[in-house]
Parts: sequence; C-alpha cells; structure tokens
Amino acid sequence: MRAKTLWLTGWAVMLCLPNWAQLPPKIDSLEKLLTQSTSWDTLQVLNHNALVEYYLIADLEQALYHTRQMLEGSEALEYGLGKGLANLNFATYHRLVQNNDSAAMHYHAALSYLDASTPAKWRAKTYSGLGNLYSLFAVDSAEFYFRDAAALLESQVPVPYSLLFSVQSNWARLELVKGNFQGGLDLLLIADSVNKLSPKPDALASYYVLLSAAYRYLGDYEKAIEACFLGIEECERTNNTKDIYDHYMNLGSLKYIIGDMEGAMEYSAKALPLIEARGDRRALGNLVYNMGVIAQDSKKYDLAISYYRQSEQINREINNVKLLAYSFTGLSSISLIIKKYDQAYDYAEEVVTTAEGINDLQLVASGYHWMSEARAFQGRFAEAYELLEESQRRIDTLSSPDMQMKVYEAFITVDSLSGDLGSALSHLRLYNALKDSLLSEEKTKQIAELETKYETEKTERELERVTQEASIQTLELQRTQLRLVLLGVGLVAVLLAGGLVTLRNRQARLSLTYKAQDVEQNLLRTQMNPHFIFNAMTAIQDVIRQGDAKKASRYLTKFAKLTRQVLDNSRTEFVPLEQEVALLENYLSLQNLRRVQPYQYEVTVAEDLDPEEVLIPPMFAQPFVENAIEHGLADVGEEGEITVSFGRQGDKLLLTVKDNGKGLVDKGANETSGHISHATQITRERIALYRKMTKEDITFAVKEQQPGVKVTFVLPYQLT
Amino acid sequence: MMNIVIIEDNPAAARHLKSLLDDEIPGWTLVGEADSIVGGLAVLEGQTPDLAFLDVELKDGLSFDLLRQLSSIEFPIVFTTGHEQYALQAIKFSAIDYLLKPIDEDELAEAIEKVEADTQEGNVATKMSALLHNARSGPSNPLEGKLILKDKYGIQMVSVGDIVRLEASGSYTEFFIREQKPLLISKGLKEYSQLLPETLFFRCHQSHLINLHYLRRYDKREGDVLQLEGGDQVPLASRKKEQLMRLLGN
Repeated sequence: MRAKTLWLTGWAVMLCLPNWAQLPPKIDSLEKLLTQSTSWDTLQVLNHNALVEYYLIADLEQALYHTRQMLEGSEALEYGLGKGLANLNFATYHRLVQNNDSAAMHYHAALSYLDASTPAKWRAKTYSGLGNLYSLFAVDSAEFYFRDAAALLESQVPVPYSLLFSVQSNWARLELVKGNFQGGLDLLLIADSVNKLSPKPDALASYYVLLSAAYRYLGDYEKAIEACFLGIEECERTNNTKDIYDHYMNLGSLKYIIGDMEGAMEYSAKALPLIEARGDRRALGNLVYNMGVIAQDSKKYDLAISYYRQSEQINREINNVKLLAYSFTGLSSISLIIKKYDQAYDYAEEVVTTAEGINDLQLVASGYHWMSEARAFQGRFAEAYELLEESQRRIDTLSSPDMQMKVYEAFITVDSLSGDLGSALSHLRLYNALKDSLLSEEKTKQIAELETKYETEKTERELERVTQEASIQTLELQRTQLRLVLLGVGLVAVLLAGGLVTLRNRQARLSLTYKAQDVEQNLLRTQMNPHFIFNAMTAIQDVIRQGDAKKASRYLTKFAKLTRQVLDNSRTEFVPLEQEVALLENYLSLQNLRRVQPYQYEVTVAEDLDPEEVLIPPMFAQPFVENAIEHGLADVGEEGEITVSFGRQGDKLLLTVKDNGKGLVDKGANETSGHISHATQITRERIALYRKMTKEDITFAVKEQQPGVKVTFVLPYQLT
Repeated sequence: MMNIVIIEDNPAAARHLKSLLDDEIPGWTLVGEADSIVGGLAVLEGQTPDLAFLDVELKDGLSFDLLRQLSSIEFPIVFTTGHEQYALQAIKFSAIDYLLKPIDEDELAEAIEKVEADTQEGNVATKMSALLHNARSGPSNPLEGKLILKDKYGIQMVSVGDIVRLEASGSYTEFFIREQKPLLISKGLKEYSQLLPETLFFRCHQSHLINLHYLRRYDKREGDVLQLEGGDQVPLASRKKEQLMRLLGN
C-alpha cells in the first residue's frame, strides 16, 4: 500500500505539468535556437521555460540547467515574469526531488514576481504547486492554495479549463488523502463537468484512478469498477501504457473487496504482462503480493505460496522492505493454516527481522505475536507467553491502542489454547475496556456478545473445545482483516495519517447541519444593530460639531470596539459570560458619554458563576438595556440607574435588567410600550428559532416596578 | 529618540497614528514610510529602526509576504489591523503586539512600553525569528508553528507540535513539552486555550489543556483519566466526557 500511496503522489506531479507530449518535436530546434544566440531577450527566457517544462519529466538535470539559464537571463533583463517562472521551475524541481523546504521557498519567491501584470495561469500554477507540496505535510495550507488556484482560474476569460481540471483533480486527491472522501468525490465530479468544456486533457486516465479511489473509499464498489473501465478505455484510446495497468490492478483489488476472487485474479493476471513489459518492478512487487493474498483467500495455498515467494524475491531486490515483510506475513499465516508451525514461526521471525530494518515497530510487535501463536499451537505455552511479553514491550513504547488490542487478542488466543480460561477472560475484559474507550459502539457490542458467549460456555463446561475452535477462527479472521487492509490502496494508512484532520471534518460536517438556521439567527441578531450604530454615530457627530476632536476620536475608538464585540457575539450561539459582560459595560459607558446627566450603571455577576468558564447565548439583554436608556431613563437625571445582573438558578442562568425610570406606560403617549413591544417581539422570534435549534427553552418576563421596569430572563448555560 | 517606520496603505490611518505618536513619544522620528509590500521592502531592507508599525493588509498583499522576503528582521514590529482574523495567529504565537484600528491611545501606549521592554531584555531577535517562521509555515498550519513563551528567566521559542499538555498553576500555566523540562509561564491557561486551536488542543479539565495528538488512551476503569504519550496522566472532567467522545468519533 505504501507503493500505491507514493504512486498517487507521483501522479499529482504529472497533472500539474503542461501537455508536454506535444513538445518533443520542438525540443531540438529550440535547443539549437538557444545555443546560437549570444545576448538575452525575453523570448529566449520563455524558450528556456518551454524546455524546462519538457525536461521536468524527461531529465531533471537538464531542467535544472535551463532553469538556471532562465534566471540568469531574467536577471540581466530585469524581467519579472522570467524570474517568477524560474522560481516556479526551481520549486517544481525541488518538489520532485522531495526537497520540500526549498520548494516552498521558491514557490513563495515565484509568487512575489508573478503579479497582476503577468498571465494569471502562472500564478495559478504556483498556487497549485504549493497545494501539491503542502498536500504532503500541511493539508490545511494545501487546501487554501488549491482554492486560490481554482478561484483565480475561474475568474479568467476565457477560463483555462484544462488547467482548472488539473487543479481540481489535485485538490480532490488532497481531500481523499485527508479522508474526506465525499468532498473529494464532489470535487472530481465538478472537475468532470469542467473537463466536458475542454478538449480531453492528458491526465484523464489518471483522473479515473482518483474517481475510482473515491468511490471505493465511499464503499460504492460498482461505481469504482465502472471508473476503472472508463480509465482503461481512455488508456487504450491514448496508448497510455502506464495508467492502464494501474487500472487493472485497481480492478483486481476491487473485485477482491467485493469477494469475487476469480475476477480479482483475472484482472490481476491482465495487469501482470503489462507491468512486466514496462519493467516497473515496484508495481510488479505490489501485484504479485496482491495475487498471493487473492490465492490465499481462494484457499489455493500452493499458488499463494508461490506468489508470496515471488513477491519476497522482487521486493527484496528493489528494497521495498515493507512489502517484503508483508510477504513473510502471508507465508507465515499460510504455514499456520496448513499446520506447519515451525515454518510459521520462522516466517514470523523474518517479519520481525525485516520490520526492524525499517524500524516499523507495529509490524515488529505483530511478528512477535504471530511467533507466539505458532508456539501456542505447538503447545509450547511458556515460549508463547514470553514472545507475547516481547510483543507487549514493543507496544508499550508505541502506545498505540490499535496494536494494544491486537496483542490482547493474541493473549486471548494463547490463553484459550493453553486452557487458562481465567486469564482469557481477564484479557478479554482489558480488550473490551480499551475498545470501549476508543472504538465504535458497534464493535464494542460484538465484544460484549463474545464475552457473554464465553461466560455461558464456561458454565456449560464445553469451553475448552469450543474456544479452541473459536480462537482458530478468530485468528483466521484477524489475518483476513489484515490482508484486506494491506490490499487496499492505502485507505487505512491514509486514515491514520489524517486522523486529526478527519476529526475536524466530522465536526465541520456536524456544524453544517445547523448552518441554515444559524444564518437566520444571525440575521435576526443584526437587526438590532443598526439602531444603536446610528445612535452612536449621531453622538460622535455631535461631539465633532462641538469642536472637541480628541473626545470625538476617543468616542469613535470605543464605538469601534463595541461594533467589533457585537460582530463577534453574533457569530456564535454561545459566548463566554465575560465577553457578554464586557459588551454590555462598553455599551452602557458609550451611551452614557452623550448624556448631559449621566446615569449610574452596574453589571454584576454572582459569585458562583465563573465569567471565564460560563457560556451563554449572547445579546439577549441588549435590546432591553437600550430600552431602559432610550425611554425609561430618558427624562430622568443623575439619579437614573441601570443594573444588569447575572445569577444562577439550578442549572439555569438568571439574567435581569433593571432600571428606576418612568416605567412601561408613558403618561399620555404610548411610545415607550411600543418600543418595549419591539424589543419583545425580536426576542420572541429569537427564542423560537433558538428552541428549534437547541431544543432548549428560554423564558423572559417584563415587569413594571415602583419605579421602573425589570426584565428577567431564564437562559440555559454551558461551561467551556 | 525613537526611530520609527510606518507601513500603512490607508493615508488617514497613517496620519492618525503619527498624531497619536506625537502625544505618546515626544521627539520621535519617522525614518521611513511606505504603503505597499514593494515600497516596504525598499524601506526596511538593510534598515534597523527602533520600531516598525506594519499594517497586516497592504494594497498589494499581506504584510507577511513582505516579511518573508526580508533576509532578517532585527527590529521590533507592532502590527495594525482592521479586524481580528486568522492571519493574526502567526503574530499571537510570536507574542508580538497588534493594534486594532481605529487605534486606541491607551493600547498604543501599552504596546510601546512592551516593545521597549523587549528591546531592553534582548527579546526582539527571538520573537522576530518566531514570527518569520510562523509567517512562512502558513497561517492554517498551527502544529508547525512556533510559540513564544515567557518565564521568569526570559523568553523561549517552542514548537506547538511539541507541546504535550498545559496545566493551570494559580494564575500561571505550566507547559509540558516533549523532551524538555516543564516551563512555568506567567499567563493563565485560559489565554492559551484561546490561542491554541481547539481542534488540536482539548480542554479536558478546568486546569488542563492537552494536545490531542499525544492522547493515547482513555480508560474508564481508572476514574476518568486520560493517558498521554510519555506516560503523563490528566483528569477528564465529567462534563467534558461527551465532548471528548464526540472528538474521538463515538
């Protein structure tokens, strides 16, 4: 699977380069032209560039030489585009030789030369190159650059569809590597519609490889297979001998996954001569290993052994140590099945030795527990336990829960073979607990069932025979699962590598569900803003008219801060209490600046609420505070008071807004109550939406007091 | 006497800053001024002002693009920006001040004080090298970032990816970093729980923030304890359990 992953990386390189297949006839004449000339002009720089594009595939040293020429020429001419392209070429070169730091540096340098005055496609190519580069180690940045590249290309007239297709495909590949399979597929489908707008690009055959991979990861094997066939058709059309065997290999493993062993073997066999003809030893090593697995699962053990041996030989020759170790794994498991325990032990030992060579501790640990199982089947339990301890020691340095579970499984096998049922059960419990804490519920249930089964059978006193059978089955199952994993196009490796990223994606997807309603909430919240924004502006205008520039400036700074706070608080459903308090304080002080007779105000938080830890739904108090200032206290002098307090009531948060103004009903006019009802209506709407989203309730009550008004909210709260 | 460079693409904002500086630092000298990356490069390459104000967004790109092209930065910088945004992370990680526009005179005074302290304590070079690193490694790649931490002995630069966990210790925070002695930093845990990206750092307890990358297992039998790589154990608050399970995909 490692080989496959690497190959996908190589594919990205192919895509982002231009249609070089058309170039070779020109190469000779171009080179002649360039050797004849003695002084620089910009056309020569571009000619060198054309050569570099060709040589980046054919001969890296030549590519480097011409890039240096380009740079020299561009510097002599002070030619910005030339410098940019030279840097782009240096970057591509460094990326190809996996000199990532230098590549990044040159890409960024290229960006500083490629600006609005140069053709956009070069800048897009640089972004795309950065995307490919960062795909290897910084997937977030990679996405950022692909997005930029695509946006830039889409804004061109006419849109360079062929390049856009490449960018979208590479971007899709990134999403697949990240484990965002649906996202990857979506991008591929978009790329496909772009593709329909342009003449068929060279990269179409590789595109189908990605499409097939995306469907496979999503479990849609039929579509995955269909994509393979389309890819093969495309390869045949364009005489593409490289991608075609990848498609056949891919078909083989897809057929394996859906359990069609015959088909799996058939397509693998089709790939075999094609690979041999091209002399691709790496792919060959991968293929014969796959064929070994397929043969083993078809219970053709002799055939499987012969493929595994070939795989051993080829992968040793090309120094693909990982697949070499896997070949030994296969050989060991077959030996165990055909009851050649000594042989199984020896091969497992080879797994350990080989894996140690590449410092693959997981595989070393696995090797030890397979050695242990071989000994256990021979009844040599003391040795078996010793080997398991060895395996456990490796796991301890790894602290990998997955591997820890495998070792517990091995313990259970050895325990039950040796008849130590107590130990088996305690290992099962350990296994169960670990799985419970780290894996999906479904699997936990399976183990729980298994545990019940063990317990029942124990009482039935038939345990020994049954568990022995069960453990052999488990063992076979385990191995089959392992092979499934190995045969995949690196799905698991991809998942492990992208673990955290996948977590993040999941969160993103979850939050998407709420997005629509979220938007509505935001709209409603911003409805309140214009009101005090214009009030504040009026006040600033007033200070300016009075000729106090410094005061106006200070006022404006405060106003800017408040605006920022409101925008911040409008963005999320819950904000830290301290943030809400800061907003209210700022709002109250700002409003006070323009009063001839300032009011007193206070925002209090009860002692049992930690303002840093408590989260509350924001901006519920603000409309009522505004009411208190604008109306309740409008005609009240310095004795005017506003208190906002936050307290706790069970698992709810109590918010009160209190003033000592003229109350709800204005003598004569109905204006105040009208405003109160405006605030009330907005609040009601917000609460209704909020309830729909969170299933939590918010209640509020507006009460006339002697004097003034008291508004009370009962809000839910969370802790950070 | 303070030599100052101002790089700002909004003439009004530049004028405003100058007038605030007149109040703050009597006798300051403007030794260079630019409104773009290209202009800024010409002003800053080879110059060592006592302080540079740098607008985050310039008319031809982000000021990080300017910094990336400087061979070295040997002067303190205070950034100015119109709004909080994710590009600021590189600045915050590097413990460099930024001012939100319109600039508040009190905040400006504070920033200048901090710059003077940094200059006296010889912190400028370290902070700027962290900034340059963070600007280069890209804004959305926080594990690659370098964080500037200040303890009682001075400032240090640590890789965010190497931080295993943080623990509150009164109003201080103790940093546990791979292959390094713990550091006691004079800022609260809350500050870091906001600064470090929450997708990577999980607040498992009021006093604990862990790097999820180092989480090895959660064992219910051991009374809600999280085990981290390297053997450290931290408590999991019961109200955080659900969130953690969600993060782990259960």
